[in-house]
Amino acid sequence: MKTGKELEDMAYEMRKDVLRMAYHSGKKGAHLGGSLSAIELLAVLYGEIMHYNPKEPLWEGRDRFIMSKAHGAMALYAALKQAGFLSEADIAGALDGTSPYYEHPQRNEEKGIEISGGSLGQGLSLSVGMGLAMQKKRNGQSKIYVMLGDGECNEGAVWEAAASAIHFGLKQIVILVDVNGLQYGGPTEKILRAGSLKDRWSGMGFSVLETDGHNVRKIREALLLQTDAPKVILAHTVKGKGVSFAENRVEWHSAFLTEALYGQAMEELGACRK
Amino acid sequence: MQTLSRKTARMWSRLGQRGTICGVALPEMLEERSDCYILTADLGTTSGLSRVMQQQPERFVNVGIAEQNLIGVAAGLAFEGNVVFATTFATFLTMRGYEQIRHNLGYQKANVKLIGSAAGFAMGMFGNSHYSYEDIAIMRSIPNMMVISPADAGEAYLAAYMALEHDGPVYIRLSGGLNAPVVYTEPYAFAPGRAVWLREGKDVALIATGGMTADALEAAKRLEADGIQAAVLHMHTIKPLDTDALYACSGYGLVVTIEEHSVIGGLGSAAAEYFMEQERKPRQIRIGIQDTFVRPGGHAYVRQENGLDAAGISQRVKAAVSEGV
Amino acid sequence: MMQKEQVVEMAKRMRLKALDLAYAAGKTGAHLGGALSAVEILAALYGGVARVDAKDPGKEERDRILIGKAHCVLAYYTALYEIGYLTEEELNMFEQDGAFLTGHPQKDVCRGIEYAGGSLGMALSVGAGMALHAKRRAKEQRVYVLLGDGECEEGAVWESMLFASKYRLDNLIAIIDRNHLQSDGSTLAVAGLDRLSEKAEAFGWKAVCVDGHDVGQLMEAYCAGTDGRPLAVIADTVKGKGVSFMENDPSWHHAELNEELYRKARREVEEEDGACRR
Repeated sequence: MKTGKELEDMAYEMRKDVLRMAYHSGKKGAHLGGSLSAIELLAVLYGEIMHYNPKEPLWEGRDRFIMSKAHGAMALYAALKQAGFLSEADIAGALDGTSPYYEHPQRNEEKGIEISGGSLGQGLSLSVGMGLAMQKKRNGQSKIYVMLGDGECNEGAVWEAAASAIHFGLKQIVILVDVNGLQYGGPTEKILRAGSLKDRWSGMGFSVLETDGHNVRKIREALLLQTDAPKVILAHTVKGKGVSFAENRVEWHSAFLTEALYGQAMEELGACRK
Repeated sequence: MQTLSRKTARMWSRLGQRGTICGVALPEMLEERSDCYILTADLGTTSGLSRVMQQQPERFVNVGIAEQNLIGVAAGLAFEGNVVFATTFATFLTMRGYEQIRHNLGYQKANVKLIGSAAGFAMGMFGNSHYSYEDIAIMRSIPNMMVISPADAGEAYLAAYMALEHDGPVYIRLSGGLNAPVVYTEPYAFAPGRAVWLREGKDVALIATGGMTADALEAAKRLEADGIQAAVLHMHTIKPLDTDALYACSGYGLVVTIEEHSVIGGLGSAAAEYFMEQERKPRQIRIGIQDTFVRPGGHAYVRQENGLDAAGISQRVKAAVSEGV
Repeated sequence: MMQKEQVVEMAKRMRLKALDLAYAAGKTGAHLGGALSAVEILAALYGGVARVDAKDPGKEERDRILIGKAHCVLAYYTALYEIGYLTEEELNMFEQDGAFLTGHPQKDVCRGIEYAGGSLGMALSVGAGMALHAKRRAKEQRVYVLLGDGECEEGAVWESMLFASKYRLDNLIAIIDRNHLQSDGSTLAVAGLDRLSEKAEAFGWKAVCVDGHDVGQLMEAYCAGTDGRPLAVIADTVKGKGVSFMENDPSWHHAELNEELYRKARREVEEEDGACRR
């Protein structure tokens, strides 16, 4: 078991990698905000919770991670590097126009990328299908961690899938919602405010936990807690976390880092670690 | 409504097709008409609708990330006597809510105009999930649906106004991004279902649609240097198809259709279906995506990789001509 | 607007007529179960609270009634007949070749059919669009949308739920015919969707649960106050209601009615002494 400090160090490295990828992607820009909000969640998953083996990536008993909010691709790539699936060179070249590591991940199980993303609202349905397949194969050990965005929860297809997950009693599915409070069009609350997200998930029959999505200890606690129904973790996060000029700024959903901003961001990250 | 001039053509080409419709045509329409609504699914700002959102909030609706609902709400507004424009990326617009489109717009003729932005590979690095090269095929298979693919921003502007006046569903497929080439610099009469001859030539007829028309013109120039006289026909309306213009094409020894779309079901298929039933059948080559998910990359890269640029088109035509008929 | 007792009588006539039409449809069969569950719901609406006028079908201020669970046409068409949108001759053309009264309704505003059906999960969005229009134009009209409980499995239903809540469409009323059965069996077994009122409230709606065969309760519920929220009336019903051998039997979702069963069914409905009249 890793210490909280070790997980925080891992998150720090991942955040640096995300900034490097964003910077190298050049003027077309990259999805920085929603990648930075998901860092600690991925660090705890890949650093401690999930079972996998990069030397045997197709191992049947592995846990699956489904990046449904696929614009968080850079965070996933950074986690996959920490996990040993991607190399330093993969990260250095990602998003550069010729690399297979695109703005939205493309399925590559050998490299730990379970599904292609880019069309929101589809990951949970896929997870339900995977869970059913596992049930059929009597694979009782694998878990499926699926990460959704809070904006993504506007999609009716999410609720179609949610009902299925409950109906089929798929307790191996663990849903993490990156509640960063912002979507492409602006604050989630403004685009489509209706009841609370917690009520909606519990109304659908899930056990809902709320946690600070940047606190590795609390995330771990939430992930380890046993629940009666399939679990949803609403992780409250900050879009653009760790980089002052990107935090809570919708324009950093996708934008490009100038050399000056890149330097400033790296400096800020370093300062936080001291 | 403004007229197309050298100045507006240049100005609008900088905005691109989407910027011109969402940032120029739609705000004008809202001012001119009280029965017009603009809907989007969480892509207001991205689509260039800021002016609409700020100045006409009462006639702007954002349904959130819910494309099936986008179509349903648009149809509901349309059934109440409004003309409704719904816009998001071409892929999500036409595919996520496909059955809703078929049922509400096709079957029940809801007066909704679908503005599918960034069709083809314009989404570049966003990858295949955001590409749209089946949309013409699926949209044109829906009864009552009109399908338009403008060549440049000026034509997109005229197409949007045509759609406003047309009673029935229209799908306008927008290609390219900012700073796209200008095809028309002079005022001309845009009429749905009436293709435009942009260049004469006796050896081969190039029939192109959308952003590919500019490349077809460029390819024709290159072919001329090689002694091949290529005519260029711009088929901005894929449905209803201009069969008179196709009839004129059937006199050529070689007809080449060019589209940033799958060869299955798009312009090439539509033309082939027409020729098939005629006595006089020209030889036809379909340039487009060959039933595959392409390797993603920048817009220009993907077009080049798939022979969808002036160089690729002219090479393909030259090879076909030298093979003979 | 009819009194409660008149609506009860209307419902009884609708049920009998529905059986006639199903019998006349012969071997094609008809959707019986889900129509019989919705008889009181539609009688209380068309005969009771809805402001619609068959003599002026295109009137702009009319309430809009959209049918999402469009397989309930036997209840729908008979209701439209009862209030004068359809003639008996037209009604008797049900499901005949070329007739416009098809197994799922075709849009025909002059005959009271606001919206074509057949593909589930679409009507609530359309109703929300209409309700939004009424709000923005400050019109008094209300929009009623009848949904099946199975239909609520469609994600599009929940997209429109969110939407209606955001725009505070308190002129939108979703009526859910909670008959607990869908084509393949019980809604719980097929898709596990239950506790609908809790879900509707979680999505920002006011939910009211009633006995869906009690016209008094239904008429009251349709007019419930909501504090600005859209209203979901969850009408607990029995699929195949009124005919003993059809009740709660999913095989009567769509089936053929032979002469013997037809006579038996008619007799049961005729002799029914008004358990619904409470």
